[in-house]
Amino acid sequence: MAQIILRSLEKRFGSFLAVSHLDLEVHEGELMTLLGPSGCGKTTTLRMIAGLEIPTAGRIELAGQTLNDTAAGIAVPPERRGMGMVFQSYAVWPHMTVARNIDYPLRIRKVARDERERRLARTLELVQLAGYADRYPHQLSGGQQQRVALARGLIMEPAVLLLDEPLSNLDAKLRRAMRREIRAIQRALRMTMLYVTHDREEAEEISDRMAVLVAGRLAQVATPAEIQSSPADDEVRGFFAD
Amino acid sequence: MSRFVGRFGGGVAAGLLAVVTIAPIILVVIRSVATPAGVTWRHYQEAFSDPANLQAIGNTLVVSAATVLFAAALAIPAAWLVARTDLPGARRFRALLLVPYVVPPYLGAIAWINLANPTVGWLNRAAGGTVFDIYTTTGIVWVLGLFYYTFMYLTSLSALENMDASLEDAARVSGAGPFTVLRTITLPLIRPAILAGAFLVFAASASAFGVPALVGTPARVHVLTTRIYSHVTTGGLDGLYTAAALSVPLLVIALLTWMLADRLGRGGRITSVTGKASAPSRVALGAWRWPICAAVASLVFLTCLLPVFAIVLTSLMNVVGDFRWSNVTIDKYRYVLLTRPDTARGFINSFALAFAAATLAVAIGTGVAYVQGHPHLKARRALDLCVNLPYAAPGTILALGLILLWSWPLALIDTLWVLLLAYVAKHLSLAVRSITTAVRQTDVTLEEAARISGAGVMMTFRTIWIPLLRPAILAGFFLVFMPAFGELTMSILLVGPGTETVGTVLFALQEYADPPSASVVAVLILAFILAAYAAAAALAR
Repeated sequence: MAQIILRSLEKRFGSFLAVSHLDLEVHEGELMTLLGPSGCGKTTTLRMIAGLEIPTAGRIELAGQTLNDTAAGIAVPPERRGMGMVFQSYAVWPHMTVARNIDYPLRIRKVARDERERRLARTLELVQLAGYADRYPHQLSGGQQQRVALARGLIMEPAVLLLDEPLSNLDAKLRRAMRREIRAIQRALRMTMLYVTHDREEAEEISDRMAVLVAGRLAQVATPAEIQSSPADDEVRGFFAD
Repeated sequence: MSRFVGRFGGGVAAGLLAVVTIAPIILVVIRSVATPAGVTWRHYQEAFSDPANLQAIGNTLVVSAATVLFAAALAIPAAWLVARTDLPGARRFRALLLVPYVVPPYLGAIAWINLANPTVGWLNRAAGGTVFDIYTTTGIVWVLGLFYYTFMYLTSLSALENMDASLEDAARVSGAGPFTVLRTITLPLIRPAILAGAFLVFAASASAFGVPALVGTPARVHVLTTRIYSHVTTGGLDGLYTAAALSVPLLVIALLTWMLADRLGRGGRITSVTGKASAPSRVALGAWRWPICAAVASLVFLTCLLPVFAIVLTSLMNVVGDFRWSNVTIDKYRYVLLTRPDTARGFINSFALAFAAATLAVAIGTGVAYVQGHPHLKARRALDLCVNLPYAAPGTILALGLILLWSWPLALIDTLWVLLLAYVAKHLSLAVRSITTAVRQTDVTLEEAARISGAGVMMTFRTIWIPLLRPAILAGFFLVFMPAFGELTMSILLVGPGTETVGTVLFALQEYADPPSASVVAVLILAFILAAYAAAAALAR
């Protein structure tokens, strides 16, 4: 069954059409990348799914529940979508410790203390930050801040984790290590992940399926192997040509 | 929170804000032509048939223009010397030259009256005859300039310090000497900042009340603010409407210059302000190093040391201007602090009002800054107007508007409430600016991450925004507290029996020709302001 369904999704900023007539289904438990050159609308699409941008037309559903329906005037606010998100800038709060940053979603939902501590410990373990709980973000390296951002997205074990260019601020070596880790976590938790990147190699290594966007339009959805062997059109072929 | 409640609440809040901030000023303009008795030009005729008022318009323009020139002569060289040369002690001078920025100018007026009163001034006593006379138009310009040069100094300094040094380096490589670089590159690049500072000085000088009232009134040199003041205080109800008519040209002058300063300050033309590429190279002053250092030191002496010395000395005198040890006494301190009940009351009122005004201003300011930081929220322009109009308008006009607005049917006049409204409206802009800057520098994804994590708008505000903005909120608090504590221009029109403030107590003592007692109050105000700054600096650390 499809986890996320986008129907005729459209986003305009003034006269600029950022996302045009987008139809997409993301299956439960798969890692799908949204791939494309900068300005193709992939981040805008992700932010609409998160509820941070409101589409100008179209519908978004999550597990049968309508999140956006412009025709019906439905727009569920981001805090009621129960998703996790990892930002390109990490968005780690500078005034909170690692532990407070990560267990924020639990505190917001008033999860009991022992349960909270149990899940915090487990999540810290999962992202290999055990022992860093009481540090502040400025005491961490870029890679460690990235792990905090990832842990915050994971701690609720959300139905969907959205990742917006999560690794683009890391150096090449760390980037390769982290994407293997993200992939391993995704497999272990069988979590649905939607992963925005402009890096073709990263997308090919990590994805179950890839959605290639070109100029606000969905060009092709397929497995990495399928796209390599039979690109849908010249634009996709161009993007994959070296 | 449903969307309807949000909109409705936002509308009510914006409406209340408008009543506090812009309604008084608009009412002044309305009442200049439309009184409860009907629409009439009579008050304009009355205002502008009085030669004293016409003279006051001329004086306002002359004093303001002269102050700009005097301030420029001090500020531009000072800024360049501390920012761009190997002036000895440049860093210390950089801070010392800003001291007048935090002191109410009327304290300077008291000090310079003590120094240059034609008969009993300390300087004239020392010279053995009347060499200096503060009670002149030049005297007003002198005192205003020694305070308001800081506006130009600040704008020039920040332009110089943010300028990309490679622009100057490129000129050096091309063969220009240090002073050719200054003339052809540096000064043209900071010209918008200098002009912005000049317009700020003009607006501030035209709006000044304390200095022209204390220095100009004995000399019968009247400006618009002092004329409006006397129409309000001695003219009855008709006087209020004549004052309103007289306010309109002053309002136009102040708003026009302020808008020009604001536009230039945004600096569309200063494209070089893009983070520092390299540290600016400093010009070697060579043999001139120490003479120039002495000149800058004497400016600090004139703006800080000499005035403080004058008011402290005068406060210890039994009879004015007669320095003998037998004339030294602390009787005036005893008289001012113990015999006169209004002194303690003034300090308590000013402290309580400034504290309340600063608290309210940062509370409102945080809300306004939040809206300004969210481009999709509407009414940002209207909010801008609410925040900046009372800041840009002369305090005398804001006070007149509050008198017109709060006399009937709800009589807040002569209560502390109307002073509180005045202080909040006037200084709100300072809190908003401090907090808005912090909001703009905060990555919006910090907020979005909280929303995704399940926090609603209010929860995000409480757990993310407030803690992140705390330093800016604290800074905004002090930025409002300090000028509100020493406020005189509006207070003098709005105080009643029992609601004295420190500024009005001092003004009254000086008016009753008791300079030693006035100097005692001046010393106390100065001591309090310096202590508060020390406290703020300690808190900020």
